[in-house]
Amino acid sequence: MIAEEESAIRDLHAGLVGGIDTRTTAGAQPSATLRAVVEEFAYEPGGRPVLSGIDLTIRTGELVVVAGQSGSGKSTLALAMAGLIPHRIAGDFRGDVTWQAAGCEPVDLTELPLHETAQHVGITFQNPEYQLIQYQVDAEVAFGPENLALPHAEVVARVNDSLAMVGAQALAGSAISSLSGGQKQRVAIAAALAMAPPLLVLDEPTSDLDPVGTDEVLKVLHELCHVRGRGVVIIEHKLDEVAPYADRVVLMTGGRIVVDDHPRRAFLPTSRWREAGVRPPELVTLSERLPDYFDDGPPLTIDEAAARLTGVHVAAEGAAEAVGQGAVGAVGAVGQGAASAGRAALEAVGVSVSFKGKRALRDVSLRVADGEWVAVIGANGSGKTTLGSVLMGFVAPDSGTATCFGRPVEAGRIPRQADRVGYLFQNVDDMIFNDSVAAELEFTRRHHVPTGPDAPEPGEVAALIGLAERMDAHPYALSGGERQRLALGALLTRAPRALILDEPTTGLDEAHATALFDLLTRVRTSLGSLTCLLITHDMRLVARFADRVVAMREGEIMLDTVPRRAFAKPDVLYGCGVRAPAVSALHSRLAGQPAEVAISVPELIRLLAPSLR
Amino acid sequence: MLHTLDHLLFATLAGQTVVAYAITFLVPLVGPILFLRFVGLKGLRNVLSYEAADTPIHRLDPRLKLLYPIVITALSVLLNWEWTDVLFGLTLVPWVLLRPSAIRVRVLAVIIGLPALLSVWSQGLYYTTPNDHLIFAYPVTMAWVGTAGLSTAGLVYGVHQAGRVLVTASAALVLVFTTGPSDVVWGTTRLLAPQRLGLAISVGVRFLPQVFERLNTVMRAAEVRGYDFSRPEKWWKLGQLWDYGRRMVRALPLLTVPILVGSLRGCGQMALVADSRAFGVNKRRTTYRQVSWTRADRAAVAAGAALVLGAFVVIGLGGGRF
Repeated sequence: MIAEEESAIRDLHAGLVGGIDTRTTAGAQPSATLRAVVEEFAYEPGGRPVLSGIDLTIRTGELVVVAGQSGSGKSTLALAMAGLIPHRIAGDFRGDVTWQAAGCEPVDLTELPLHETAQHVGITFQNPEYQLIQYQVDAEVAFGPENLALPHAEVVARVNDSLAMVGAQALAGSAISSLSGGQKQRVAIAAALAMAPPLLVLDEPTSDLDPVGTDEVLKVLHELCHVRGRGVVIIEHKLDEVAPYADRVVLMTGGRIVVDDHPRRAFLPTSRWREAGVRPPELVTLSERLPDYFDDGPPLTIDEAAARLTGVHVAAEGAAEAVGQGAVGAVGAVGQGAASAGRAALEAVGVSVSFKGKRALRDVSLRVADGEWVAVIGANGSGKTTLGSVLMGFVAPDSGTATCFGRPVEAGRIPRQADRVGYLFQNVDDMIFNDSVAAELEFTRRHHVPTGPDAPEPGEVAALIGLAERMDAHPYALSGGERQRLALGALLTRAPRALILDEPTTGLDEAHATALFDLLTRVRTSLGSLTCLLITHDMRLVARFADRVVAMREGEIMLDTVPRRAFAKPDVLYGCGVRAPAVSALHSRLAGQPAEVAISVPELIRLLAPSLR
Repeated sequence: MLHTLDHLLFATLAGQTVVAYAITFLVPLVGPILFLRFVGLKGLRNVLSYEAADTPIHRLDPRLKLLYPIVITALSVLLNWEWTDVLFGLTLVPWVLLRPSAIRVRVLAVIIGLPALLSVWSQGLYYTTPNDHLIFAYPVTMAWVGTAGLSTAGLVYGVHQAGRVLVTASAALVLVFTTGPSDVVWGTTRLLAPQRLGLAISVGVRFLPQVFERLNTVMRAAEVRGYDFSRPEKWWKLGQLWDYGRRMVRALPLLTVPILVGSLRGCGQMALVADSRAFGVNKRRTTYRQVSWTRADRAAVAAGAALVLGAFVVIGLGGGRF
């Protein structure tokens, strides 16, 4: 299966191996162009410009990826391209967004009524939840055409076509609330497509999706672009995943475009991306370190990288020794699964859970040792969050037991285990209750919540999370990353010995995600020991920070081992809706199913070194 | 013995006070007890949810089913109580066609019957007319309740009103029981001329479950921070009960903030989506879904028209309330 997908992407990039883009003529002919020229835009007159000096041209038939750190202006640019700025979002806008179809006069979208702009440029937002406003899928997709008062036959045709384009025909009669995250994202795209826009702008369309779901959505977008001739702009953090599909990559920083080029050229030098707080694709980083093998441009797929490294052998001594040489961080520091032998911090034994007759967990047993960092990975709906919920006491198991530091977890009696274990929710805004950082950190004291003698003072926690200078700030005035740190800090005021983190890096860029885990590392050092159960789709964080990986599928644990061994089993991972990091997948390909694989670029290079020319 | 008891309860101030307290506070408790015994919160969710089935009522045009409780309620207001009871009998006809299970009938009986019982009780205590005959006069110790006692006229009036409650509940539950949420949304948006109202109802139906889910998440988040929502284990200990009530009340603003902020942010995005999908551009929208009327729809319209016509004839012949 994986080989087939790799092959498909290889085919897709058949014209790229030479390093120069030959795809623009492969599918659709460019027939219209959007040009966004934004001299300056600020949300408040006289305020800090969020966009400045922008001049971006997008053609139909091309897929453009816009990357950048949080706050770099990506989403604002998307709103401007879709005409929502200046039509619906107030601010000081100076510029033009023009649409020109082949053989027609250009149209200024800033002057056009919004519903007419929507028929040139469609937009979907990061969170599909709030852009699906009807009860049922077909009604949602039909909403736009109905508003345009199109004839019934045309409305029906647009609904059917749009759903077909995203492969969601079978969902037509489903209630929106019954859909998974990936399905909702597809429906949101279909609803935008029903307005028949030649250009589609998508703001982080895969942020809530597992790796396989991400790939499915990207394939849909690729087909829209290269088969059906639509233009697609994707704002995305997951550059490893999206780069193989991109025709152009744009990097934004400080409201400006600093890179706009073909993906084979755009990512080099990678230092430019790191300085902008964006993680470049691993394969590009590897190619930069091995210029002799990638002199015609960096690879974007595993197949390409493997082809260029033909004849290079991976050292037979295995990856573990490479770690022993100090190649990477946390795994080496903690050891290869040795930590699981200690005292149990969190433990589930034979746990089964059902919701409305559907089994969410099937006889799951998991033991997390004191001080161990365990990552739980798997597709959306595989039971990861349910497992975390059982261990926290949110959900009572139908059978089996859960314990927390040797004491039974009492389902529904959450405060009783909350002094030992904290739970960081995916949406940290659900965890913020007060009107200042200080009040948030004083929550336990204000509400007379009992804390142990080790509980830190709010000021200490504020210093640890880097918000000591912002104690009077309103939480909603903080950035997303700061709010995440505040929510974590609020948990730390009770000095928990374990944390369950549910998708903590969703929607965070590389810099913020790394900062969060650096903070957790500091907390571990500060407390002496900290157990973490990390529920995530971010495999690079898993590789970097987890001692152990537990892969789940349909409520069962399919794999439980250290990351380098887990990532050496791509077929099992794929069955769990997960893909190994690119560098691990490349190691697997080069070494032919080794027992362990490298989990970072420096590590793989160290293993390749003996046979490099 | 009985005589003594009778004397103690009805001839002494203390006894009369006890009886008055029982009438005032125990009778309303019958409702929740019956509800918890026969329905429960889970049962309520089930009974108030659509249940797919292939019956003539299920197949009717949703708009007709939406109009049905409105028309029936209006007629129950216009007709006198004897004819309202007849109307209640007629509202049972759809239920015969639906053939609900025995369990559902029991639950429906509680759901429909409880408001009727409470209507009789409240009117018995608080509906007053000059020269009321009091079945039980409240003693001076119960003056603070604000009623002279349980009156015959009030109970009779309560029975009359209960008929109206029964009619409304019976008709409304046919709609709830046989019409899926998407049909309700579609029917409502088609019936309502203002598009904004239709969209508001659509969004409400779409997001109501999500708001409850969010409330659950936010409560969990507060519990993770140590806030205790657990009920007292010994509810008869007033101190614990008071503490529980205080915690719940203090939690209200805490829980409201994240839900409100999240909803407002969501609303902003929804407004952008609606705008970018040309909402409100045309006065009349076309429709994706088209419902063609069946023989059953025509029969239902004919039956409804006959019912309305009959009701007006009855009213004309003096069977009206006004």
